[in-house]
Amino acid sequence: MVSLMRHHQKVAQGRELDAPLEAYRKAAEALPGRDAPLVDRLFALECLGRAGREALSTKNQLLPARRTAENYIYGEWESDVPHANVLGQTLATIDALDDDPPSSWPDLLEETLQELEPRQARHGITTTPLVLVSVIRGLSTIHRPVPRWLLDAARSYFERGPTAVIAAELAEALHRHRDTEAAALAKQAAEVVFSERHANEPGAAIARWWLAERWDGNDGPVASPDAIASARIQAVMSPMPTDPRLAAMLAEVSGRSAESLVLMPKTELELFRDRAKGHSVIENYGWRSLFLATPLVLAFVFLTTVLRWLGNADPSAKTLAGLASVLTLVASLVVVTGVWMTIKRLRGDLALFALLAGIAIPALLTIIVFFFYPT
Amino acid sequence: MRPHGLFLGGFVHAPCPILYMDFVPRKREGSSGFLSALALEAGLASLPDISVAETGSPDLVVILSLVPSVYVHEKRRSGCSTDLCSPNDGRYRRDTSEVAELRLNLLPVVLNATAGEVLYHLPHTDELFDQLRQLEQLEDSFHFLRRDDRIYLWAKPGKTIPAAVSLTRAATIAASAAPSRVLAHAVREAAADCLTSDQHGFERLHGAFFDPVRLFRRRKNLTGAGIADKAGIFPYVMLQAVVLRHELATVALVVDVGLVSRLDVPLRDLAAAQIDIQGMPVDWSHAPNCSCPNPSSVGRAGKVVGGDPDGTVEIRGRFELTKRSVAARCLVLHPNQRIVEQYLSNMTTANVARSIVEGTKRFHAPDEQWKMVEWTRTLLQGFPVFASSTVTLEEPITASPGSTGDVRVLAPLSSPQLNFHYGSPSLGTQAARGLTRYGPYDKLTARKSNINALVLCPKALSSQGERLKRALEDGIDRFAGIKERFQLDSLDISVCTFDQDDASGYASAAEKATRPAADGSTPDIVYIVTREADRSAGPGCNRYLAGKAVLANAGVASQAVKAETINQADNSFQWTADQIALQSYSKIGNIPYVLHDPGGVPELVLGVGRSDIYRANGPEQLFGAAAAFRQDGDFLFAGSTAPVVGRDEYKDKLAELITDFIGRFTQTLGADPQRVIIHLFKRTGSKERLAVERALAGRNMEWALVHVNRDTPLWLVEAEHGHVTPAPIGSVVEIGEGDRLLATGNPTSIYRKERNSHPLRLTLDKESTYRDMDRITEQVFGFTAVSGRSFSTTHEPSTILYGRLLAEQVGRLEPYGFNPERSIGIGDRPWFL
Repeated sequence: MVSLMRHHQKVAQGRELDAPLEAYRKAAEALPGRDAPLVDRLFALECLGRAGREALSTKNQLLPARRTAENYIYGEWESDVPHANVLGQTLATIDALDDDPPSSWPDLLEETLQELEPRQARHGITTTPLVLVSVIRGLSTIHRPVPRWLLDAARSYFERGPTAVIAAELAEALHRHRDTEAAALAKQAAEVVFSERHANEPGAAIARWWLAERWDGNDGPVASPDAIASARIQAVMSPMPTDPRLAAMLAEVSGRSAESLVLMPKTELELFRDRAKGHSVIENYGWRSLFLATPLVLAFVFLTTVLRWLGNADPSAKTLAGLASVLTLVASLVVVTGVWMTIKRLRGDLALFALLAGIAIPALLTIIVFFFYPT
Repeated sequence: MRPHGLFLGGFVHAPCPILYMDFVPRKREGSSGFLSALALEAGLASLPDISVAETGSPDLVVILSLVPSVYVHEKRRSGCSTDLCSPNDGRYRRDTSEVAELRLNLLPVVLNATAGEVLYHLPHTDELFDQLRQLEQLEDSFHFLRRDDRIYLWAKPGKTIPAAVSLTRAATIAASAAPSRVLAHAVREAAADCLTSDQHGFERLHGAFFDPVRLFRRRKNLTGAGIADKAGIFPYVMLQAVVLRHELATVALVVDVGLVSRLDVPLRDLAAAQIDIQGMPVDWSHAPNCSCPNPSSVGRAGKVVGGDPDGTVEIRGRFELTKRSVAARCLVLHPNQRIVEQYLSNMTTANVARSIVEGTKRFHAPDEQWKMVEWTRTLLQGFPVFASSTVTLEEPITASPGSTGDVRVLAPLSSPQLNFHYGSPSLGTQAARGLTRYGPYDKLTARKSNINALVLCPKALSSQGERLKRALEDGIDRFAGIKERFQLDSLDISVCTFDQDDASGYASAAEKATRPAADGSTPDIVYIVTREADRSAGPGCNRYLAGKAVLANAGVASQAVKAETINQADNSFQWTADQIALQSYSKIGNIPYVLHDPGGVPELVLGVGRSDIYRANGPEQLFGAAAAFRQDGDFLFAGSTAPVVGRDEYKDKLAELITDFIGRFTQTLGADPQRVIIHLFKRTGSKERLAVERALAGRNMEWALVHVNRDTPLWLVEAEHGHVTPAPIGSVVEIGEGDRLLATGNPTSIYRKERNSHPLRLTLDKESTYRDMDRITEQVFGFTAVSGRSFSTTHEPSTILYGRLLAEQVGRLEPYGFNPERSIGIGDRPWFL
C-alpha cells in the first residue's frame, strides 16, 4: 500500500499548482467593494499592486479608489484622523503602483500628525490600530521617521492584547522603517503574529504568509521556514475570508505565488502534469507487478530445486516442461495485466492491438517454454 | 465679463467651485440648451465659455453625471473668490423643483379699522399696571398690554374704558398703526371674547397670560356618555397670534386643536364613584357669590393631600411647602383621560373605553383637525376687535418656494448621514441597516468588546429573565443577539433571581450585583426585569428606580425591561430586543453610529433640556445639559452634566456649563472649538446671551443660541386633492428671519401617520454671531437620528432630549438615594437613555 500513498502524493503535487490560483480567485471575490471604507479599498489596491500579473484586471477595477482618495484629500481636507488615515494609506498605495505622490503630501501628513499629537480623545490614531498602520505606512513611503508617540501607541497595542492580523499589518508597516526602535517593534509584532497563542485566530495563517512575503529578510527571517510553509499551506486551503483586508492580503500573496510557480506555458504545464501522473501510475503498477511476478520467476529458475524440496527429486521432463509453462503463463499474465492497467489509467481505454498483444504474448511465451524448456 | 468654465468628465482638482450636474442628453437639446441650463443652475448672468482643456484658471468646474439624481452639490473651495457658490457649503439638499407646497394653521389677520379708532398708551409704571389688572377683572370692558416701556389699552367692542383709568396723560395711536405685537395680542383676545360669547358658547381654560388661549365647549363629548356634559373629553381650540411678514398681513392667528378632559362634579361624588382623589391636581371652581376666603382664585389650586371630600380638603399649592384647608365645594378635579373613563364607566353602562379610543382616533385624523381649523375660521369671520373695528381671517397660509415675505418653504432635508466606521467613513441613512452592513462605529477602536451582563429579576419573573437572557445572547427571529449585532468579542449574561419582590428587594439585589466577583469584575450592564404596574408605583415603591439608583451610584449601567414586553411573541419581541441591544451598547459607553458632518469646523454643540418633576413639596424644574463634539468629521456625544435645580440657578450656571464644556473640548481635541452652538428648550433672552458672552469672553469663537421649541402649536401639512397629510419628515418652512419650522419624528410611526404632529420650531437668537440657519437646521435634524434610544429618528434632537432625560432620571432617582456627583465617570456615558 505504500505505493498507493505515493500515487496520491504525486497527484497532489500536480494539483498544488492550482491551489494558489484557486486561493487568489477566492480572495478576489472577497475584496472590498465600492461601498467599503476608502482606506480598505486603498489597502486592497496596494496589495493588488504587489500581486503581479494575475491581479492586473482586479487592480484596475480598484483604481477609482485612488481617485476618490485624491479627491477626498484635495477637496475636503481637515487635519483630522480620517484624513490622516486616508493620506497615509494613499501614499503607500501610490508607492505600490510605482507612482510618485504629489510633492505637498509628505509635509501635509507630518503637519497633520503634529496637530493631532496633543489630542486626548477616546478615539484617535493611537487608539485605532488600523489607522496607526496607515499612518506609519505613509511615513515609511515618504521616508520620514515615525514620531515617538506613534511608536508608543504601537507598543501599547502589543501590550494590550493584539490580534495576529493587525499585528501583522503593524509589523509590516514598522519593518519598512530603518530606525532601531521601529525595527525592534516590528520584530516584536512578528513574534506576536507567529506565536502559538494566536495560531487559531481567524486569518492568522493568511497574515503570517503575507507578512513573510513582505518581510525583506535583511534583519533576519521573520520566522522559521517550516512555520512559513505551514502558514502558506493553511492559508491556501483556508475558506474564503470574510474580512476584506484579509482577502486583500491573500490576494496579494496568492497572486504573487501563482505567478512565481506558473511561469511555463499551459501546454508545457499540462505535459508536466501528465508526466508526473504517468510516472506515478507506471511506478505504482510496476511495483505491484514486480511484487507478484518475482516469486514466479524465481520458481521458474529454481524449478528442480523447488521440486526436490517438495519430495520429487527426479521429476519427469514433461512435468518440468508443464510446470515451467504454467509459471510462465501466470507471470506473463501478471505483467500484461499491469501494463493493461497502466495504459488504461493513463489513456482511458485499451487499443485493440494492445488487447490482442496482451493475450498473444503470454500464450506464445507459454508455448515456447513448453516445447523448448531444457530438461 | 463672461465667466470662464472648465468642462470635464471626471474628478479634477481646481481652486474654484465645483458644480455637480446631472446631464441627461435629449435629442432636441443642443449645446446651447445645456449651457442655458448650466448658467441657470450656477446663477450666471450670461452663458459661460466652455473649454475642455485644462488651460487658464477656471471660475467654475462642471462635473457631469449621466445618472439622473435629485441632488445638486455645490461646494466652496478655499480661495474661491467668486460669488457663484451656494452658502450651503459641502451639504446636500434636494433639488428645489421637488418641493411641495405646505400649509400652515396660520390665518392671516386683516384689520378693517374704522376711521378714528384709536388705542391709548401710557408710560409703564408698576402701580398703573396693577391697577389695570384689577380693573380688567372687575369691569371686563377693556384689554391692556405692556409693550417695551408703554402700556397700551383699548376698549372691548361696544364698551368703553372705565372712568377710573386716567387717560389725561395718555397718548393715542390709530388702530391701523398699532404695533404688530399689540395688534396680535388684541386679535387673540378679541377672538377669545368672540368665541366665549353667548353666540358660540365656548369656555376659556385657565392659562398663563402669554400662553395660547384654549377654548372648549361641551357640545361634542368624545366619551359618548357625558353626564349632563359635566364629565367627558371635549375638543378644544387653541388660539395664538404671531407677528410675521406676509404679503397679506403682519399678524396671523394660529389655530391649534386638542382634547381636554373635564370632570366638573363635586369631589364628594368622585369619592362615591370610588375614585381616589388623593394626590390628584384640583382647580378652583367657585359658585356665584362664593363666600369662601378665595372667591377670585382661578386656575390650578394644587394637589389634594388629605381631608374630607364632603367638607374641607387639604391641598398643597404648586410652590407651597405647607398645606392648607379649602372647602371641597370650591374645587374640581383636574382629571386625566383615565380618570374620566373610570368615572364614566362606574356611572354608566356604555362602553366608554371604546368610545374614547374611537373618538380620539377620529379626532386626531389630520383631515378632521384641518376641518376644525376651517370651522374655527368660519366662526371667527368678521369678529370685532377694539371698540368698533373688525377682523377678517384669510385662508390658511400656504408656504411655497416662490412666496414673498417671511413664510416660504425651503428645500426639504435629506435623511441625515450616519457614519458606521471610525477613521474611514462608512455612511448610510438607515441606522439598523447600516449597523448590519458595517458593524458599529467603534469596532476597530479601543471599546468595551467583552461584555459581562446580569439580568436581575425576582423569582416570580425568573422565566422572563431567562427569556431575556436567551434573546440577547442567542438572538430571536431576525435579531441575531448582541454579540453578533455589535461584533463583540465575548458576551456573558447571567441571571440572578431574588426573593423579596418589592422596592427594597430590588435595591438590595442591585447592591449585591455591584459587588466585585471573585475575579474582581463587576457587570458592565444590569437588566432589571420589572412590571408595567411599576410605572405608576407611588413614591418610594418603584422597584425599577430603587434598583437603578443603587446601580447608578456605583457607576453601573442599567436597563429596565418590563415582563409584559418580554412576554411578547417572537415576531414582536425581536424588534424590542434589538432596541434593548442598541441602548445597552450605548449605555456601556460604546458608540453604535454617529452623525456624520463633512465640511464643518471644530464645533461644540450643547443642549440644555428641562424636565418638570413633581415632588411632595411641589414641582421643580430640573435642567440637564449634554454636549456633542465635532471631531474627525463626526459629532460624538461628549458627556452630560447633572441637572441644576431651579430656574435662577440654571441661568447662573449656564456660563459655567459652557466654559466647562469648552475646556473639555480643548483638552480632548487639543484645540479650541471654532464655533459653539447652544440648543435651548426655552426662548432665549438677555440672560442666556450674557451667559454665553461671559463664557466666551476673550475667545475668538462664533456662537449661536437656538431655541428648539417642540411645543409649537403650528402645523405643517400637505393638502392634495382635498386630503390632508402631515408634511414629510425633513420639510422646512421659514416663517421669519432666523425662525424656521422643521418636520421631524419617526417616519414609520403609525402615530405620526395618523396624527397631525407638530414640527419643531427653531428660533435663532438675534444676537447670535453665527447665523447660518441652513446649517443650524440641518444640524438639529441630524441630531434627531442619533438618539441611541431607537434606530428611528426622534421628534427632538438628541442634544435637547439628552438634557431632558438626564434631568428626568436624576429627578426620579434622587428620592431613592441617587447622588449624581458621587457617581464618578457616569457623565461620560448616556446612562439616562
